[in-house]
Amino acid sequence: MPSVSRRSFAHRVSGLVFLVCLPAIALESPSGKVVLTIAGKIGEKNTPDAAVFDMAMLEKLPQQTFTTMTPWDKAPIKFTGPLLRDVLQSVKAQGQTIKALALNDYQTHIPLEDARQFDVIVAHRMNDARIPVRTKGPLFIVYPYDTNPALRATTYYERSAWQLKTMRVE
Amino acid sequence: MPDGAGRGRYLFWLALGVSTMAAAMAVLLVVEMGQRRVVQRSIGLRTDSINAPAVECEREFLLFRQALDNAVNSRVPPEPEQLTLRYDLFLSRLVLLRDGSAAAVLGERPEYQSAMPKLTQWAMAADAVMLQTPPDPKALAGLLVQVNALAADVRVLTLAANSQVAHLLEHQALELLDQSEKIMALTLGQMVVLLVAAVALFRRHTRQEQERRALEQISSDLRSAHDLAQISLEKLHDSQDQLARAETRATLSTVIASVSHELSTPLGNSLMMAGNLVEQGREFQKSLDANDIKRSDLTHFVAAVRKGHDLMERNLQRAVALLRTFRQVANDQASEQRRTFQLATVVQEIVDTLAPSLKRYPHRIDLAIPDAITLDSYPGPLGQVVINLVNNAYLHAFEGRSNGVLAIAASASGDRVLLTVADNGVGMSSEAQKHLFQPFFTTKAQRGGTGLGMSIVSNLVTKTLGGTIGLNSTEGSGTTWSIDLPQVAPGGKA
Repeated sequence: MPSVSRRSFAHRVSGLVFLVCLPAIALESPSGKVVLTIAGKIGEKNTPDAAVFDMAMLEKLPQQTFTTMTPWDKAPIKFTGPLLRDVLQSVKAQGQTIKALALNDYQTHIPLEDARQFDVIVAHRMNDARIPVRTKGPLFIVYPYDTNPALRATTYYERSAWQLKTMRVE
Repeated sequence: MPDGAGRGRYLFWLALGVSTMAAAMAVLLVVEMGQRRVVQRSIGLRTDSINAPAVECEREFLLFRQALDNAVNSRVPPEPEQLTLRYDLFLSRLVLLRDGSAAAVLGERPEYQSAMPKLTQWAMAADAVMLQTPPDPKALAGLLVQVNALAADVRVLTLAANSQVAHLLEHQALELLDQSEKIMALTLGQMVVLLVAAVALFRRHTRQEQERRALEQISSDLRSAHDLAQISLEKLHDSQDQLARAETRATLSTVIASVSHELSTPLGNSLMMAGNLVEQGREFQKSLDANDIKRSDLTHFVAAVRKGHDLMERNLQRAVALLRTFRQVANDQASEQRRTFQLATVVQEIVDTLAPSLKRYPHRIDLAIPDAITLDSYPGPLGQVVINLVNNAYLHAFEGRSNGVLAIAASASGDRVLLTVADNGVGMSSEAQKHLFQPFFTTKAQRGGTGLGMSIVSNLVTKTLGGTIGLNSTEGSGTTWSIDLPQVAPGGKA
């Protein structure tokens, strides 16, 4: 579909623009409780092995908000969080795949391409409220399912990791 | 019209076939929509949305139980945060199982109905303990006892989910199978209809092709038959002309025969009287030579000679009159000349000419034609018509009769002349009347009838004389011919 490819091209370009133009800001260290760990092929770390984030760090990144239906709820939900590609950019991720790990040991693989192609977010708010562990929180990988029928498929549902704890860039 | 009926039938079957197909397709569509719904439902009820939450729930339950057990019994208890995380994870799965799409499917299971309230109730109680920081060890120990007691219920939930999913899958598979069977049957039906239609079309096409070829054959046959008929017709016309000429010659022969017969009497009489006179003259010469003549002898001789001459004169006049008639009739017959003539005279001459040959019959001819009627026409053909009608009456109408009367009459009205020839004979059947004017129709084939007489009459009246001929016949009481003629025949003097 031309619109998709145009989008993807645009995102690719914007991704490049980010890569080239943004000055490397050294990753700060978390002051609060660590909610996300990014390890693997990354260029920016704030611990010996990984880049770790607290909620404040994630909230400092540009925020994205959209409302979408999900297969896990009967009503549409408003999600808020930074774009996955911005999160990855902040640690200078350089790989093909992200291995996402959840608090309950759930594992899934997300191609980096997805982050460029779609406005995938690392949601930390559902309907403007923080997400407790009891309801799929605190972090939740969300694709904008309602914007593209291709996204309403098991492949992308499986990549939507709840209770996200760690991402390993491979 | 068999072709029209066939076309109607063809259209009927075509319409029926197409409607059947359309109906079958509509049903097919409905079934396929049903199938689509089943598939969509089975996508919505992906096994993981029922089974996985139950398994996940049990897993998180077990992990929480282990953490709780460690917190209560281990010498190195885990961080309270760890325990809370495990508790929250377990609750997240429990909530999912209670409120998610799995609930709708699992809700009907008795295991679910008994276990879920228990777990919910427990969670409400457990929350009070877990939200304390740090949690009360005694309360935790109490929780562990409760959790151990609940293990069986959690297990039962997983088993129920498994069983429910298996049933669902089986049900959906059966539904899909049933629908695909219906689709197959319908498709098969459509195939059969199409096949039948194809065969029917092929057969129709073949039949039409055959019919077309047969038609071509027939039309070619017809063409050659037509050509043959054309040739035959030309030959027939030749034959008819020849026969007509033969008929005319035959009429002439009849005329000649009767004239010679008629002439033989006056001429014989004359000859005999001449011989008689020669003999008397020789006798008188002898008496004269012997000078033995008396006055009375002379008177007697002269009287005898005069008487003889009178007789001869009368006989010869009769012969001359006969010859004049003959010449007229013969001229008319042979030439078809047009002239102005008295109808009465011509008919009288014809009847006179025929009289000798008709003498041997006991019948009679009555003429009632006013002298005033004159025609500018063809006396020969008219005579031929009269001769044929007279002959026809004598040969057919008066067969077996001894008192036949043939009445020939005429009347004029304006420029039309109506000639009627009526007999009191046997009449004609309606069948005979129908074919009367057709060439070669005869009831006397075995006795030499040509079957052309009436055909010639009809031809002469309509074509040569420009009139019409009709008849009125009653079986047993006679036939009346009505010949309507123009006073001036067509195609003549302008």
